[in-house]
Amino acid sequence: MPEWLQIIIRSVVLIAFLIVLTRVVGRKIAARMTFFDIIFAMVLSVLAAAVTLNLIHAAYGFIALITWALAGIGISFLSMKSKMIHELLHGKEAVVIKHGKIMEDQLMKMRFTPEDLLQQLRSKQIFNVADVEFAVMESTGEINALLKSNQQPITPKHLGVETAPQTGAQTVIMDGNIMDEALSTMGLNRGWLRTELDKIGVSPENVFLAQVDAMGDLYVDLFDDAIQPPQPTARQLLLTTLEQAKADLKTFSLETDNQKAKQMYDQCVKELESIVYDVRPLLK
Amino acid sequence: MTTHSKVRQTLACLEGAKATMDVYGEISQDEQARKIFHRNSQKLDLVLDRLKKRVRDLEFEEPQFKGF
Repeated sequence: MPEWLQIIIRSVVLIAFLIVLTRVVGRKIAARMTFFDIIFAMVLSVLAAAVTLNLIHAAYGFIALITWALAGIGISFLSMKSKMIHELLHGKEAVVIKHGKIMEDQLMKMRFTPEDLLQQLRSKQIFNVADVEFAVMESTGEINALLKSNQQPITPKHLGVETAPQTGAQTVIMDGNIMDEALSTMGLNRGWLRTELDKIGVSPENVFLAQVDAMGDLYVDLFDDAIQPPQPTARQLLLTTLEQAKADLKTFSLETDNQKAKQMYDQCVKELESIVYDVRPLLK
Repeated sequence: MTTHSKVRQTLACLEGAKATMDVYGEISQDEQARKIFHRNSQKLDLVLDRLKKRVRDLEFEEPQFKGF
């Protein structure tokens, strides 16, 4: 067999072998690889390259490859079962900033210079070490930081604002095709969709994309961009109606001379107030 | 506009609001949201009952407005 044919055959066999191997060892993103994973990958690739180019005897090469592969699988299995082995191979995460103070000895242990630390923090948009309350170096060498509570971004919870639970919107029309499965997961059907589209005066053929949110509001995008479809306003309308009715009842209460009716109106205003308070977060 | 017709108008608006709320109570995907809508729809029912009674009283006091 000529040399070039041998190289082709070996290459193809090795590619197939490595594909199978990478599937078995498990999926890990390159950026999430620990030092051990990288060494393992490097050894395998060098061995594979050497075997392909006939730098070492093919049989020996294959034996080495298979040994490494089996060892890799075995070790990854063991490290999954035992925490000790996992820490031994992949290292342990280290706290590098605690209560806003940098732990110099931990940095030393990890062979991490202050510049490295600052650079890692900057890549997380933290330019001021004073803002960091707590930071951990993961076994991958990446640093994750928790900001001081007064530096954290404001969330609705901080403001004491209640928000409506958001479940994902379902795409019910895509590229002009009605998605029956998405409709049925929302408990809706084609009839409902046709009615909603009729309501906003749009023909189903003209819809490029339509989404229904958790409250049944329909958002549409049309093929014809010259047409402006109305945005869903039903929720806002409900809130406005309630507010309006509340104001009306207040007026009635002021206008009437009948003491009993006055009381009744006032009570209704109070009820409406509590209703508005209750549903407002859902209608925002 | 007479008081009677104004109250009736508000009543109609609130009835519409209650209907919308009932719809939301049915189609909402979140269990918590459903509960809130059902609860408030019931609360709104009480208000509606009171207003209906008030409309009847007004019609009784001033029968000339009846039916308007």
